[in-house]
Amino acid sequence: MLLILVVCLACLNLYAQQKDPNAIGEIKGVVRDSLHNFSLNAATIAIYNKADSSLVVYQLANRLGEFSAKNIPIGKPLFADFTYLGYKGERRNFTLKAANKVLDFKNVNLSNKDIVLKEVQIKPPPVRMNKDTLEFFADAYTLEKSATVEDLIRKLSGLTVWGDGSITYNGKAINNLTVNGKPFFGGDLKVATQNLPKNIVEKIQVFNKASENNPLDSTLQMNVKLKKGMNKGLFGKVGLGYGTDKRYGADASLNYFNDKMQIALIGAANNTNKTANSVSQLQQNASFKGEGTSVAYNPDFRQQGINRQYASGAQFQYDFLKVRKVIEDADLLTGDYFISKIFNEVQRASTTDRVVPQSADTRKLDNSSNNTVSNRQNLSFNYTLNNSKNSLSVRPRINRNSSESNSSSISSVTTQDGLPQSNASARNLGANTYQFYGVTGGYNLKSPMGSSTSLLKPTFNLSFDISTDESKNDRTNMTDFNSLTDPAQNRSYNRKYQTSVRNSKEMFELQSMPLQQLVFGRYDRSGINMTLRNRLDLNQYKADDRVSDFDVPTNRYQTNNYLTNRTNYNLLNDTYGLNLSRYYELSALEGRYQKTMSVNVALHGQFLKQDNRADQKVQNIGRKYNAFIPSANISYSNQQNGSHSNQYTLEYKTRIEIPEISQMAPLVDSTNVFSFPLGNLNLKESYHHEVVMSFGHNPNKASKGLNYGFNLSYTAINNMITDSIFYDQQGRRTNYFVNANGYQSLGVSGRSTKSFKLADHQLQFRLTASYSYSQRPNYIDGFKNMVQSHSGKVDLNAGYTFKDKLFLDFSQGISNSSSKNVGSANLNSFGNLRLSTSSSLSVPVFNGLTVNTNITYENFKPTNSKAINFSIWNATLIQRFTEEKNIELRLSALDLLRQNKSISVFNDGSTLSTTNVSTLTQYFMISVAYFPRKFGAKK
Amino acid sequence: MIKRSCLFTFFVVVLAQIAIAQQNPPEKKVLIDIENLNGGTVSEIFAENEYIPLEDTKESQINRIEKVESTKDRYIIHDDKKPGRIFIFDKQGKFIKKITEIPGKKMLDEGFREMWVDHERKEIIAEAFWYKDGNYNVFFDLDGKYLRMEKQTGNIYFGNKINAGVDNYMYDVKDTAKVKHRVTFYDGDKPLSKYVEADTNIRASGMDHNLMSWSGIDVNNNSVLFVESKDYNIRNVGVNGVKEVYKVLFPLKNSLPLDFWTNSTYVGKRFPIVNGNPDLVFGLQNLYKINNWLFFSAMHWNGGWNRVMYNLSTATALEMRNIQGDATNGYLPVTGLGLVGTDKENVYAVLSSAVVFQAKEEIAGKNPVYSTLMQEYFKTSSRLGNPVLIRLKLKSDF
Repeated sequence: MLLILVVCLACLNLYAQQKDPNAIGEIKGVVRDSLHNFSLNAATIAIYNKADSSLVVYQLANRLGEFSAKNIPIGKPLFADFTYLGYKGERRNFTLKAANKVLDFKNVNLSNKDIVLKEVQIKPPPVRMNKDTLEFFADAYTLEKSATVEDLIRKLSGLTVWGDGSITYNGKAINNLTVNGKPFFGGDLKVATQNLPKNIVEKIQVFNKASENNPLDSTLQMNVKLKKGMNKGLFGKVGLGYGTDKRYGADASLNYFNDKMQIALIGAANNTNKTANSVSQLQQNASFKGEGTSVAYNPDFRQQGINRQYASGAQFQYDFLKVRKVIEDADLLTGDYFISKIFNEVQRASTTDRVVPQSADTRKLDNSSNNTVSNRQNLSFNYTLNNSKNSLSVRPRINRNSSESNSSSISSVTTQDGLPQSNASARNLGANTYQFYGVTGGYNLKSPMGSSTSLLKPTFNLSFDISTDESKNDRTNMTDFNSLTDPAQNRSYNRKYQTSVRNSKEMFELQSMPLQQLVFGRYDRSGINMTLRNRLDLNQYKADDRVSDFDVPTNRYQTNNYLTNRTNYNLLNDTYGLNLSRYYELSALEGRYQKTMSVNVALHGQFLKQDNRADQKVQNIGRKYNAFIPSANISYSNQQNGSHSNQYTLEYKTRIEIPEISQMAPLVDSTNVFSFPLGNLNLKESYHHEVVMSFGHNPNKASKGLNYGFNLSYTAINNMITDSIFYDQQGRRTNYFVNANGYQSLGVSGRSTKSFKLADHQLQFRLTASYSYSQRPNYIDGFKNMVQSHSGKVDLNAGYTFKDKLFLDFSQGISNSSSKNVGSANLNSFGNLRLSTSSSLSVPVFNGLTVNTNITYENFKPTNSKAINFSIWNATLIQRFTEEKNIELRLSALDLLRQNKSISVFNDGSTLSTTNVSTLTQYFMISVAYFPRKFGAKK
Repeated sequence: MIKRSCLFTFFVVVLAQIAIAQQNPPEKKVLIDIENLNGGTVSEIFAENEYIPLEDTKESQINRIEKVESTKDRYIIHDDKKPGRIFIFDKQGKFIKKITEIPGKKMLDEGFREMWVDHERKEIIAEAFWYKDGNYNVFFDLDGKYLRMEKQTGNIYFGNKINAGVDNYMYDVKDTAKVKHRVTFYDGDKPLSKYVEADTNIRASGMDHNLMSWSGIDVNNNSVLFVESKDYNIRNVGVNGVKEVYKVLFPLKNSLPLDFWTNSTYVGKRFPIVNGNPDLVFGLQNLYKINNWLFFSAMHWNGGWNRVMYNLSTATALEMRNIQGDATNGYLPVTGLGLVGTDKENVYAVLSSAVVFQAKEEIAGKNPVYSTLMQEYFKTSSRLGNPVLIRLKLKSDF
């Protein structure tokens, strides 16, 4: 950590320049429309170096058209461009003299664009406000040839790029980024910002998009508008790496886009725990700008075991829209195909201590080894239509997965003094196939344009989700259990399972048009918006379980009539009711502040019908449930013009959970020698209450105040379905489910962000903190027990950027969790404290060569155990060649200190388990990559 | 005998001329190129300017000034944000009284919906509405004391019981068999005269929207400025007939087609056309005429409505948003969000305190000189304070 700081300071010294007050001057004047006799409010004045057209400084004229730009270098040839929307720009060349440091341009007259005059080529302004949209013009900012959109965004006032690639404007997150009004290769903003070159961009637009459901809510959107003729391009990557310990990595991607269409083909292979679950993740790993302090491009050292993946995929998008009148208009078809094969090898060693005052303490040791090969194919399409009259979305998808696994384990149980009680060994072989076919979507009929509408205007709205999936599972379980205290308990099993499941689901949700005029009459002035909603979920589940046991005398598998079972389960779930909403303007002083509130109340009922038919008659169960599940939320907003805005939300929700068949009447599988479930036909549904409060504060300008927010949530469950566990001397547990009252949980979280931009320096801070408390009832050996758990977490992240070249990131996290049993006898506590400190540095050393290094230190201290600590230190040298920087040589050293461990601790109220899992450790690798890039039409 | 017959003939001819004139009132072309309107500084455009901060107390807190009427020693202000209230200030902005209710009668939540001042009778007239009873005019004296209530006849009150009813909505034109007039004058509740025949072609062509016609007043003549929704002509209609028509003409790219409102091929497309073409002017609003000045807003969706100030004598067209401060007003903004009132010599605008304080901060380096009232205001008020009223005296020799 100290080494990183020293490097950082040395680089700062290398780059830092002192501003000599004798070397700077000022220009001033007034920008006017002299023909029409008025000054141009907020005209843009931008000053550039004549030598390389790099931007020196820019500002907006004041209300009287006056400007005064300071810190202008003396003795340097410069030019000033004056621009205003709807006017021809004006350029003035000048050089400030030492003898006269203040240059007064007096009146700078601009002409209306309709007036024909000699054209002067000037650069577009760095920034301007175009109605409600803030626009930054890319050509005003001079960056190196290989700069990407992300490099440009770092330069823009008010915009901050964080270490994880996310972007905020004045502290508020940008949720959605489009390119020329359309999603770009799946919609992940990093694909656009880290691949598109800055020099094909005309402007970056930032604007607010109001939420259709809540007038008090809006999200920030960003659109990258490309230059004319640049809406066509090709970019990708071809990379190969090989290292010690036979580690390898390879990836290839090719992306093509034009005005109507986008196509991507991508593939990757590695045995370094870089696993991707989608094409979007593969895209993230193949981006052109793989620099900075982002650790997204490093292998995941926290993954369990060693994973070897071969994956590929394709993305497709076609835009049918002829004319986009507003940015929300859409007529878009996208498709996504992903295929992957993963080989996983993992070894686990866990220690489980049972520490409950009512029973004898035991310790269980488990060692297991697992090898799995899994295959996956996902195909999905998405069609979206949105215009002023209606919107439609249809999303069909198909998944096909299969896997084969082979695992073995050895377990032993001893008393706390080390006296052996029992042991067991098991081997499992399995093969599984899964197929899913589904379609989701919705249709919304909107109010005709121009007709009077209330502020909250949900109209006719239909959503649906229809799917069916089939799975087949073949598994063989060979188990031997030996009791060292009672040999009569010894058991051996060789059991085969062949399970086929077919599961069909249909969901339809309909929301009516506003009904208040029907109820209150044509001249309704109540302001209440009233709709009816109905959601119907149907589920048909058919399972065919064939279980057979190996019969030694006949040397064949014989049917196990108890566990062999066919199940036909049907569930009907209907939620219906009335939704009421109203919007209030509480108080406002025009031009000063506005306080508004919206109230939404849902008076819903729920009806469920559960019907299970099975060969095992104990599982023939039919139940009906009825419940009233209201919900409500209130949002309050206080907008103080020119200062800040505060938003408060209070929400109350209810729901029920019905007991599952496996909880009411499970079939006991004797091969699970340490756990025996029992059924309870008297189980009732649990009723959940949840209250959530949130608060957010956003200053109008990032420079004026802190952006912060809090969240508070509380949950209480009546008749919670929980465990009642009995332990025997062999360490085996008998478990059945009961209803119990007393579950409560409380969670509090807060966050704050702040960023500063000063000339070439940028500082960013992000602080998040959370605390949660829960108390969960259960029964242990017949005694009611309450497991109280606390956990707290604080994370501080600080980032520093200098001249968009040096990046330094620092994170400190502290998390603490503890739980104790509050029963009728003694208290037992378990807890752990985790400290995580990490730091990253990225610094260019000389032309094209960058040094990246990151180090993470983890300290983990569970109760009654020794502290575990380790450091993971990675370092990478990256050399980019050519002016476009599209050829890369990379030397990586991962887990240099060879200390990586994977440890987890779990407490279920009666036992504490600590598990060590095998994981990826030190290796070195050399990689080469080529990034093909071509943008724009051929000249 | 000959003398008598000559005199008779003379009168007939004069009356005939008057009749002809009323049927063909004089027209004045008003050419407005909304992209080339002029501006200027406040002292170039107006003879005088005065900034009157309105006293800010809990009792006198104003939300939004919709209208200002000026008397000899009072400013009467209508705040139309629910519930609509009337405030009385003196000429230095000192609060005198607030009118919020009618003795003995409960008002609806919206309060007073409109306000006028009868300068001759020295009365404040406020419009109040009840579902069962309809519109009423409620009369107060200039100190805010309640006088009486009368059923409303016309929706514009001039004074001395003269009022005008203006049908703003084409939906009101229900019966094509009867001739319907858009502007009717009353003396109390007695109809005096009616003008501007409704153009039922608009209704016959198939209305897809409830067209609204805007209206304003000619301050010097107690007449109505009426704009028929199908064109840009401003009719100056008095008790005795249509005095003048100001034919407002915009460049082609800003003008709706001539048959836009009468041709049935546009049915169902009018709103999308206007919405999709932000340069098209779809109506005129905020109409005033004072002496030889005509004021109106040209409504379109491109960059906010133009606020036009047109001199009928010199044909000078100004954009009020381009009138800027100078040393005479301490470089403060001049016209705010538009005009809120007029009298026979002045127009009135209003600025929020948030804007005034921000403006003061921006131009602090120019060391502006403020009036005593404004100096006191800056010391005691804040951006949350009451708006500042601006009186701008028109130049007679512009």
